Amino acid sequence: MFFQRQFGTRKPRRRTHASTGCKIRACYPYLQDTVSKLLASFFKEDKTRLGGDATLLMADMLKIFVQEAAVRSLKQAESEDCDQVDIEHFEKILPQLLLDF
Amino acid sequence: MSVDKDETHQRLKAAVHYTVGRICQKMGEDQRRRFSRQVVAAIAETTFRQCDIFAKDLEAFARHAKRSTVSTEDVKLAARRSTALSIYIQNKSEELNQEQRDLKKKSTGKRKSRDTEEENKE
Repeated sequence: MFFQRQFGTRKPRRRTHASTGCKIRACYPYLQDTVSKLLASFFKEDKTRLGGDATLLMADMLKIFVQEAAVRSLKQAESEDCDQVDIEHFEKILPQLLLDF
Repeated sequence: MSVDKDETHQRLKAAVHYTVGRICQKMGEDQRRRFSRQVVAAIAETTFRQCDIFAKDLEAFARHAKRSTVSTEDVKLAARRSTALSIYIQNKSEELNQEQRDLKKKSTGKRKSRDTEEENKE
């Protein structure tokens, strides 16, 4: 619903790929279009395009990036015995996260 | 032109922030810890900037291979830093190829059976 408002009423692209595409499509239906637009907005040349499979893989990779950041921050907060994950926990794991990606 | 680009970036940032919030919420539920709003915003901002780096890398790899479309090979290269990540991406891309091959087999199978059905009708 949120993405629909942002990018007009486009139906999610129909991909008949089963597991990878479906998992991402099921949980985050507009993610593929968003990822495609997101990466395309950073391309320096206009003629550069993103292939369909590449979009799926990049969506996966970005999801892993966010999950890694979240899980590492959680572990850091757990090791410091805090109830809430605060910015200091994220700051501590950020350097290694960026080096790993 | 640059105003449009800024607007697009603002919208994309908002979309990323929303998805990051959902992912963080899901992860936090398992551990029964909440993510402060600052952390969600920080992760969203970091992801957005990481996208910039990924996109520039992907474009450079595609241009190096004299292509104008980014392919799965470029994505595999972009994931080279961490061994676990590159293995995961390779497996996922093989899965996708396998599914494509299965689909092709299914569609040619259907076409063959449809052709024989038409022949029988005639």
